[in-house]
Amino acid sequence: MAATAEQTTTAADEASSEAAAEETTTEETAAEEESAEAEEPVAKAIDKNAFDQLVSSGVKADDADIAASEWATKVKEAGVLRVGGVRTSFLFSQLDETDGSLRGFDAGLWQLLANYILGDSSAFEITQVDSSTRESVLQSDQVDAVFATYSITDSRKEVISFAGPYYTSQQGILVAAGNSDITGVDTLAGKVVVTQAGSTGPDILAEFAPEAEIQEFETDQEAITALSQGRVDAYVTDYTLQLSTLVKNPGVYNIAGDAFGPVDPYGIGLPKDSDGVEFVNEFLKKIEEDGTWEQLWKLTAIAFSAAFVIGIIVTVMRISPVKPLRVFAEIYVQIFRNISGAALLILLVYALPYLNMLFSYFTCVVIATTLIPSAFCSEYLMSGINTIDVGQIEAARALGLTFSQVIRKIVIPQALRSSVLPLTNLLVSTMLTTALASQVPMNPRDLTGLVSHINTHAVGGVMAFFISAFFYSVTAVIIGRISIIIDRKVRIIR
Amino acid sequence: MSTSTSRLSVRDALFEKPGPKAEKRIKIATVISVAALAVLLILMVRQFYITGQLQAKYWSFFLKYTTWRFLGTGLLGTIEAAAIGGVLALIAGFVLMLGRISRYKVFNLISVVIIEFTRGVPTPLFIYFFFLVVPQFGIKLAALWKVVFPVAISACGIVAEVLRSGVNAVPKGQREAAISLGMSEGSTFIKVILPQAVRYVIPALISELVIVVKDTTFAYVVSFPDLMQNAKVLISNYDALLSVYLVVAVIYIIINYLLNKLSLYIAGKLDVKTVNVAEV
Repeated sequence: MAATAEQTTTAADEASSEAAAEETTTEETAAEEESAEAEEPVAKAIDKNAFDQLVSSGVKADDADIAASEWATKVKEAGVLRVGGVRTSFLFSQLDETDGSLRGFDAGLWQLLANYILGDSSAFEITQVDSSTRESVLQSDQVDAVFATYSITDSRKEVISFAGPYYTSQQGILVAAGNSDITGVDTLAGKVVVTQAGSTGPDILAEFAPEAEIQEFETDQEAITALSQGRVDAYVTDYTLQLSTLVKNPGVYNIAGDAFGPVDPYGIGLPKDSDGVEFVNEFLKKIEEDGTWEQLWKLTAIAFSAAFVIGIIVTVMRISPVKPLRVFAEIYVQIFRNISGAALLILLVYALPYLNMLFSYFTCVVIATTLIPSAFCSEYLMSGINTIDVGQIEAARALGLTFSQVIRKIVIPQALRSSVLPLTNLLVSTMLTTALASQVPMNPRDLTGLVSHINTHAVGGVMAFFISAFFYSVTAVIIGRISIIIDRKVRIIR
Repeated sequence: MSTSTSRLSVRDALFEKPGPKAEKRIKIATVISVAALAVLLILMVRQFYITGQLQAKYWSFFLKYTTWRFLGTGLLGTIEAAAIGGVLALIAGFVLMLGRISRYKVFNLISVVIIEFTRGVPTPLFIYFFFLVVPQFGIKLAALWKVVFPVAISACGIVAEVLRSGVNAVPKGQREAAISLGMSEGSTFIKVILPQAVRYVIPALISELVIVVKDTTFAYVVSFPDLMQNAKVLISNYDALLSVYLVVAVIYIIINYLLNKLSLYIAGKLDVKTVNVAEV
């Protein structure tokens, strides 16, 4: 966008008044947290100078980028700046429910920008975003810019463009107020450290505190709850986030030691024209390199064989003479054939840690893709069993075969033979269920991480979709054909 | 229903009236298994207790009317998406089925390709397609349609196959008889074959609806306010993840269980064999 000197001044003025307002609100809270050994960056974070700096750096980035001027023209024509932001980021963009306005570092920034382009700091529309939708709202042109403590990373740069950086942060360690064991990143060894899944936290921790026992939670809130309950010793995340926690809960937490880790620059996300050729090559290379398909098959194989075994056990329970076992098996089948894969996976990944049962993401996916098919497997086997001629069992009994012999030699082999088709269908659907995980190769991300992963790595293109879909359906068709051949060979024709 | 009677007979054959010895053994096994299941249940509740998940604050809000109203709104969203998706899948599936049984090779081929494609591709992939790819062409869809279309697409292939199996189940002689009575191809299909075919497959179609309901859980991706999405709001409001997800999971299970029961009931009423379909 073309900036005249005059406009810049108005913007800067706006910044100072904005910043002054911020200062008063934060100072009161900052005063309360005397016990905390933070180097009062709270006040610093939203002061006049920072805002002035911000404005100038924003201008520079825009001048350098020619495409940005087209962008600004568009905003100007629309008469409103469409912003992707959040309402729950203390210090950065927090909705004040008493007067309905958004305050904070990011909020101030976009209000400045709205003023800068349109001459009215309230000429903006906010679309709520979270860490997994920031790229997509830009790509699908739902917003003009994203202001949401948005770290500039190379992978994101492939999808969108950044202006800035306008702020930098590092990782901080949050501990309970009385904790004197942890004094910095070096003292984390052997401690239970929690961090946010899907953020840069896990990687940074693995590098700087390899001996710490790392747990991952989905949201900031969950991690803080775990810390307050004493379930974990420390919480490592963005230093700025830690500060806001400190400010909100005076005297409850401390920040241990200095900020560490790589410098994390925040930028303003802007749309970018995606380049088709580049990304398809990128995507194909990716499939080969990180062995996504191999992983898919590993997952399917493990899950299907486990499901098969469990399915047989459950089926035996369902026909057993012992009533409690029958009831249990029936309930088991009804639960897992009626719950959706996504819901079960979410339960396993996010709810079980509350019961102190923490499994890796991979384990959770295997469990989910095992339990559900096992129920269906049992259903198919049951209908297979029902096709067996009663006379055969009577004959076997008359010959003096024991119960287990009847089951092993008469019932199960025939039930299996007549369930080839449904069972191969089940194999296909197991493969499809693993799609929940295959796109997020073994990174303990949340389910929505799927979206962000595809977003950041595969630039949501038509080709990416079709290539992936093609592989899936071809495998399904091949399995289907093979199953028909097997079925013809083994089926007992009555 | 034929299956239930035959199941009983297989069971009866397996366990003809147990003698006194066997009866004793079964009793012992019953006691042991009840004890084992009870221990399992106690262990589960204990784990809940130890981790503080039984605290009143995690469950008390379920006593509030507003909680259920909110979950109810979400449930309506789920039902809305599933119903529209189901209807669309039925229409598309019907058209695909017509193509599949058509005498013209071209229609045949096109239908086969589409059916195999939609059956073989996981629903999330379709959702991402509508969430990420479609907007790139400047097409803006409401969140509802971003759920409904993918769900309908991934179901239509199976619906087509189910319908086709129904059509095939109608004895050939009926068509021949209708033709020889001077009815046209078209009216034979509409008046003779289709009514019977639909009757055969209604139970299977209802089971397919279960899959549609399950697939709508992916609505969280496109932030459509379904049951799952509303659950998330409750979770952040009351800071009670486990209890909310558990309750929501139970709601899903009940809905789908009832649908399955309905399909069995109708199958019993119509006295037809259910058609097995691949399910996810």
